[in-house]
Amino acid sequence: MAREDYLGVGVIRNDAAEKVTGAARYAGDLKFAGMLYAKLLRSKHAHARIVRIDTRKAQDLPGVKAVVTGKDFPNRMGLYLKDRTPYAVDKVRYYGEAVAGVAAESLEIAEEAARLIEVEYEELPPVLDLREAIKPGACLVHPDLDTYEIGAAFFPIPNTNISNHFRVRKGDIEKGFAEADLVFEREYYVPHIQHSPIEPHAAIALYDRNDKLTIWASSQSPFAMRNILSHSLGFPMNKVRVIGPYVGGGFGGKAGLNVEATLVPLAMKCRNVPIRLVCTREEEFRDTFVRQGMLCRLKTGVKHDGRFTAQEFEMYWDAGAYTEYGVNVTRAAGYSSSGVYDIPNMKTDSYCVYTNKPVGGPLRGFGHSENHWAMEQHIDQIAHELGIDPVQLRRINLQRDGSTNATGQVLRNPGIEQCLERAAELIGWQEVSGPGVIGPGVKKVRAKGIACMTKAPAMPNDAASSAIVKLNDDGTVYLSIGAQELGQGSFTVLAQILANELGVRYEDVRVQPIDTDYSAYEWQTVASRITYSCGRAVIAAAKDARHQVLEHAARYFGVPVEDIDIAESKVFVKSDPERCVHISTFSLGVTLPDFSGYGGPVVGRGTFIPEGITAMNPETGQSEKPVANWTYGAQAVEIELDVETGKIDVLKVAAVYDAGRVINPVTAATQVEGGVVQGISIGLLEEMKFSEQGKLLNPSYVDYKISTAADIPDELLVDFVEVPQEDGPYGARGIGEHVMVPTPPAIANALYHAAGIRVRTLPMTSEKVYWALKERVSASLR
Amino acid sequence: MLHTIKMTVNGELVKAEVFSQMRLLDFLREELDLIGAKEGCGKGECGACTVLVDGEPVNSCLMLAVEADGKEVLTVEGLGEGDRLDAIQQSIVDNSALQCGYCTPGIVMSAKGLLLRNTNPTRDEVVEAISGNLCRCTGYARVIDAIMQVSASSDSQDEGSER
Amino acid sequence: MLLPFDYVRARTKEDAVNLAIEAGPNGSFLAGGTDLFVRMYDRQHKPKILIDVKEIEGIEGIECQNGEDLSIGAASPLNMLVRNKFIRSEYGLLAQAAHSVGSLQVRNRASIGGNICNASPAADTAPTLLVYEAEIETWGPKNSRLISIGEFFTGPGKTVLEQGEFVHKIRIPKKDTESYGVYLKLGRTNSVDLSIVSVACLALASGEVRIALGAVASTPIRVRKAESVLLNSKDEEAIARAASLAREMAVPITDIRAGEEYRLEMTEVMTGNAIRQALAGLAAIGEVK
Repeated sequence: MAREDYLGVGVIRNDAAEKVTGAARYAGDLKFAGMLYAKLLRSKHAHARIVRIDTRKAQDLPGVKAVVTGKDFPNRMGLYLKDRTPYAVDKVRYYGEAVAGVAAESLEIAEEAARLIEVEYEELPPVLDLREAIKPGACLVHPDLDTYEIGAAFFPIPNTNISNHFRVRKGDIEKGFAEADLVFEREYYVPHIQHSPIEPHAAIALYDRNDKLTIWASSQSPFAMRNILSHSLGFPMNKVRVIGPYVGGGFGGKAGLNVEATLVPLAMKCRNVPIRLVCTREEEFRDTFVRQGMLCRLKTGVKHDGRFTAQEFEMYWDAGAYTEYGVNVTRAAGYSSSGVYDIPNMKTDSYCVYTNKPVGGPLRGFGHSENHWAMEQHIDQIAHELGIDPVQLRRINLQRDGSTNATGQVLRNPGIEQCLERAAELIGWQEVSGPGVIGPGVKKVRAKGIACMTKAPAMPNDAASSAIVKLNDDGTVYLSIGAQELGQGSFTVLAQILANELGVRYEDVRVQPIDTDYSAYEWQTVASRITYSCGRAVIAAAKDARHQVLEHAARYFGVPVEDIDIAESKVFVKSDPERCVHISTFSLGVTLPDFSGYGGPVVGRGTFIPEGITAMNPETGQSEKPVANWTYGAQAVEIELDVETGKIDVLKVAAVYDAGRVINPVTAATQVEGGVVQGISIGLLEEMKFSEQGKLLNPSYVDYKISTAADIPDELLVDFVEVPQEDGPYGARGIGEHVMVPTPPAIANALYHAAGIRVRTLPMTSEKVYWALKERVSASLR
Repeated sequence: MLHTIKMTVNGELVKAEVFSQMRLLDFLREELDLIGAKEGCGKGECGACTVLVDGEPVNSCLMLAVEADGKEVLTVEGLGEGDRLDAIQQSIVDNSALQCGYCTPGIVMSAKGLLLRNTNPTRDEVVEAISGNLCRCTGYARVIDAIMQVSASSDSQDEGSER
Repeated sequence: MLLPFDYVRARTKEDAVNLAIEAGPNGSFLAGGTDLFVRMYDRQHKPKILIDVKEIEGIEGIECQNGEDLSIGAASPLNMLVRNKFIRSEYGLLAQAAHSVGSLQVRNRASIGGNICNASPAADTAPTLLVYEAEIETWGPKNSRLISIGEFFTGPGKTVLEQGEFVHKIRIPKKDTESYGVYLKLGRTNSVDLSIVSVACLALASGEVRIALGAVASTPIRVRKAESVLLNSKDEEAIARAASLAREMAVPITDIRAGEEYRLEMTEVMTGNAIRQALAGLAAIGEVK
């Protein structure tokens, strides 16, 4: 009998008390006796050959314990493509790349020592312009690309800067365009942006006398970190241990292995002494993962009645100096390139391009945020040009039961139609057609815009989860998982699932902090996959534990197993509920009436791996099931445009997502709320700006603004659709990343409805909007 | 240069020797092991290091420990009594007005500073009080609601009148 | 982390000057530190000696009485100005400008003296002090001197202050006529941001309208030519003309926050709006009285 005591309940977060009192410890809060402090020397050139490094003065400085350079750890590493070393070897490839590292008794000494390291460079022409980088004969950022180890799902082009070329070939693209009555073609652009968690990356590394490497890290991926380190070091996995305290925000930036690797050669030189590295905000902006820029061209063929006949989509990713993770961003953008629409004929080319810029990596909704910025404006523009209401044009082309997406996957009951209709209803959508026009003397104008989205977890086909449930003597429960709490509420939701399945009180469940030596395996806390994937593992582990309790209880009560139930940590006989004991009676096994023991400590195990995902055809990207699942959503916004300054204020947002099944309505809503505001911030404010030499010009909150409490919408309406996910826990699927994907294009569409202008490059700053307005006014006068 | 300083931290008198360049934030975190105040940017832009000095919120990354000599410092660890959370903390918990929690101690202290001065702030005043505290997770609305609720209930509970 | 330096506390004005002379170019005065520590954190500025001026007699606090000059201690934190009832009612523009600086936490430390001594072209209090025709009372090796705010700034980060000289007080001439001021600031976010353009406009019952601009020249500037248009007429045409003249007098640069052209356009837009709002505010006072 499946109980639902804790499903759909907004229980209090189980990490709240610790966090609100300041008691919660993050990696940078940890301190060990004798701990050393690390500081990195970073490149002042975007592209240069390292002629000579002289570390003698640094080494001689009192208090310095170790100095390392690229030669101390030359092994290449990476999640999908092994193209990266912790310190530059022979060449620096972006302004900011780590060239040397120092461990010293204090941060002051470490910084002084880093300053004393002499590096002689021979400058090379930097590859900074995406269009130049893809030309034949362009200067190569990685001339040895063809020798790098790479996952089977990726397709580098040797002797170019392209480290992955993802292709979709669906239907007959030429026939599709021939059938079209009209063809629309536009370019769109997204700049580099930063995740900007408030906690910068922090890690402590210790290489002990048993040759074991232990890393405490602010990480979304303790197990992936262990995996990458073990491979690159040639260490057995039981000699690498990653411990993950609470993470102060990740958004993808703390996935995989990143700055933590720089500590490894230092730790190996300072055996038995822990070394701490905490990134400065400047390093956080530039020297951890960033979201790569993307330039694209989108061409759509459409019938007079609004039906799409063909789409050609070319995406070029400004992927930075190393693309170990970035290759998967370009892949994700490729296989999701139909968006929420049913397009019979498609051609997509997504190119991952090396440039001498900071390292591109995963950022909340990667690939999808960027391609939806193009697709969702594009359809809106087409609607206006056809004289069809944008919601109506979406309805005409939406994926429905039996539709196919870019990969040719036949979709079953996609929830997008319900999401779109509900979002339109919540915002009070009224039919519009044609661009907005601003009358003379009007200083403020309001308008609405809408955008849809879909996203699949961008992960390997075999990304797996596991969970271990342990009952303690007193009936409290430990849940051991490798999924991390980044703020999204995973510990809360997984504890709810466990409480629900096992029949214990939610308050009695304690989720153990992650330690790869002890925790159950998890691939990574990314891709909005934890509720879905780890949730399934927790259900399985809870069922296993429950079965053991039931067996013990059946013996104890002398009734069949089927006659036992557990609720609120009480175990009782269903046919005689008076016969009831606390679950602790069975935690360690059971003592039978003759005082003999039976069973043993209750330990439940559960695993999950999404089944049936098959590789996409390398030539066509086609696959019957290329990904685990698709989550759909729609957002509508109302904006106010200040015509005099170009400033956009987002007044109201309606966000609706198909969560399959909402397990905790509060944590689900808080994900949406935070995601929408992050989306607004990215839509209006955020851009990493580079000098002509490739130096990042705004590595601080002074000039990389993110939304403050004064920049949020007056009204934010959140709702959920629940079309069950076949293999999700209770039908649930992930929504964590999705919620910021459609916000920027929805604002862009509202801007068009307000003033008849389109800003196709993010962010939609006041200045850009102002000039677009001015241009439109002068165009209308011509 | 070493300075002998005396200050009250969370109600307790603290005497210490500090170098000139030690920031109040480092003093709290490294010397007193009060790790509630966080360093998010080091430049007074993110507010994660907010503590109260003589009842007023300041960025402890932009103040020297020696400048706090003779002053009264309150950090998130000094709130509440025993197991009982301060009303602001309780409201943030009840409203799920936190996610990763890294900015939370700073936000709590900004809110505390506001409510000490003004037991009945308007929504705009709450926004002003926390707009120097960057949060990347929550989208702020619940945080504002949580603080508003404390002020709404403060009349009856006599919260915020402790000094 | 800050690089090592020595912190010394000046007890008197003389003390401060002596310490500063002794320290020479290695010394820096410290008031709120909200700008100084940021530059030190970034290693843009590496003073060896910080001279804390906050305990000097009279350097913190506001002396205000009707019929007398308003005197503000240079180390008064901006929130002290924002919360001061007299300033709010009689010099509301100054309260507005002080309020627009940084975050609440920053305003609890940042001082008005520091805001002007850093001489950022975008300093929020500077345009306001320009239209109030404030005087800067300094103390230095040559004892005290009084500098008109209009002569105080010489370039980005530069003032007429000499080695060892610091600002002790800021004096704003007594109000001899009713006035209404408006400070408009265009930033990227709605709070806690530096100006792209800022405009302070003070409309006086005498008929005079004073206008100053921030972030559009190497220093904050008063735009008297624009003001003069409004002496005789305050109709829409005159306002538009004044706004256009303000734009002509602006010489902004393109930086990471905005382009030169956009700043010019916004100078005109915001000047016009500031004048309109200031005149409307003044008229409303007249009606009430």
